[in-house]
Amino acid sequence: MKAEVNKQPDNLVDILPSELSCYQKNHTFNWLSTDDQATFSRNVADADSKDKLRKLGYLESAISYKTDSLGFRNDTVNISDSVLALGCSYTVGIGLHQHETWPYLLSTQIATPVYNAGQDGTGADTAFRIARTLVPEYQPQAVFLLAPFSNRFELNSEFLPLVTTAETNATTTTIGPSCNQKEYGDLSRILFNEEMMMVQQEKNILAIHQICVDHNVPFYCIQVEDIMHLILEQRGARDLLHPGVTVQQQIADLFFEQYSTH
Amino acid sequence: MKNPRHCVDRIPLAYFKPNSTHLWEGLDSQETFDRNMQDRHLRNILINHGYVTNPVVYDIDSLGFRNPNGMDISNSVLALGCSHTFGTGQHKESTWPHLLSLTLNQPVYNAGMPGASSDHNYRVASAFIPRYQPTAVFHLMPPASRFEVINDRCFYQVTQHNEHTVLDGISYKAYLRHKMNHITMALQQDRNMLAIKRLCQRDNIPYVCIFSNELAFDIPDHEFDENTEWARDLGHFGLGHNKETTKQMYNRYLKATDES
Repeated sequence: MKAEVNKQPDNLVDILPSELSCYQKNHTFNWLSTDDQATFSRNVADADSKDKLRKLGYLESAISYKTDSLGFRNDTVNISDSVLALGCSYTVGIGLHQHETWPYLLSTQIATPVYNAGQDGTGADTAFRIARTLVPEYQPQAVFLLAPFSNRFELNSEFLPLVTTAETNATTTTIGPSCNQKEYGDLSRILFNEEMMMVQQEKNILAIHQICVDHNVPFYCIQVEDIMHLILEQRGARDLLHPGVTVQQQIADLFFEQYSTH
Repeated sequence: MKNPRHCVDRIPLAYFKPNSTHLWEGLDSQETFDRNMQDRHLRNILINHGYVTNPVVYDIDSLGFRNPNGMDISNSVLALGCSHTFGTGQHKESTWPHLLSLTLNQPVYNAGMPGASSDHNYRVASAFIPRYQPTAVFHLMPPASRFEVINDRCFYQVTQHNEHTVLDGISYKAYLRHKMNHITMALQQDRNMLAIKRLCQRDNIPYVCIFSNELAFDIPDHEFDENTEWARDLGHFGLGHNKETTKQMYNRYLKATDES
């Protein structure tokens, strides 16, 4: 005779992976994620794409991705005096100079440093995990979440092989419907339906919001899926896949509007 | 948002047939009862609890939860949880939602569901709280090792015991391999708890949540009263434990309402 007992760790943060970011710390990358050298070379070999790259200035000006001691795309870690930006590649600024990203553009608008805690390829699960650690620890001035696509789930598992490439040092894997379909066929069929995605997205946003409320930190949120009309219009990043600085400015403007209204 | 909320709202919240009455439920099965009755020691425990002379009955309301029909959730406290809230193997009068209703002197709507995960609790909360605006929400967090899988027509509660389960042609082996680790489980519980808390605070509704391990589950043998501590299935806890749950829920409620 033994009832099922529910064990919650005394302090959740203590059991979370100490590595928050999938990027190598204190490092400068020349290429990252879909903005890789192979893609660039392929685009340069194509006349139309090369023309686009020339007009965007990427033939003359190289992009660098510099990570801080936590592994995020910032010069230094100063989260307590900053606002925290959460999201995916649109927040990291894949294919863009740091000063072209919405977190940077927003920082000039609100005259406050913005700490970019974006992680490319991730979903709201990852944003929640990062917020769950950083917000209680640093109590930033505000949190801005550009909620990624809802078709991304994070599965932290000691059973998962670590995803390690030349430029990443991942402790977690984000599975999207377009990858590992064979290996994760059943898993994908379970996770990637409208209902599962919608509920998980909704609860992540609510949960991050509540973390902020619990620590008296203002919270602002835009969902990528709500601004797809903007994103699809202009793929002006160096990989010609991600949105360019015009869209980044529009995202910063939308956040600034929320911020000003608040 | 791209996905409209109605895609979730059409999924059932409960798996009991509305307006039904059940004499047995889940682990509290006649088979288990008959087996226990053949053991002299266990039979005495069942007799001392009153389960032999006064059988447990599960009355299910029109929404599929264990309540009298016609309860007004808007003027009730909402109780969320799993079988420990539903009261598997227990008379309705012994469940913590009922005991809490006596303590608070107001009706408590029992939205506990046997086998439920914290995911399921969230889905019930997200359906009931905005719609009914209950006067408070009390939540006894289910075990972390349970997740809810939903699709366009139904829902499943998945646990480590489902490793070999195949539903709709889908094996749950890979899913469980990736979910059953202490980080994912703890994060999901925490995520659900925070999301439910947000739903409540958004509407100024007091929210109390207790994780089972915060209660006195590890009762020393010499203090364990076999005549009050067990449900009829001799697997779930009984009246004594539910009284303790109620006491701690109420204390937290007083503290929460004091602070606000």
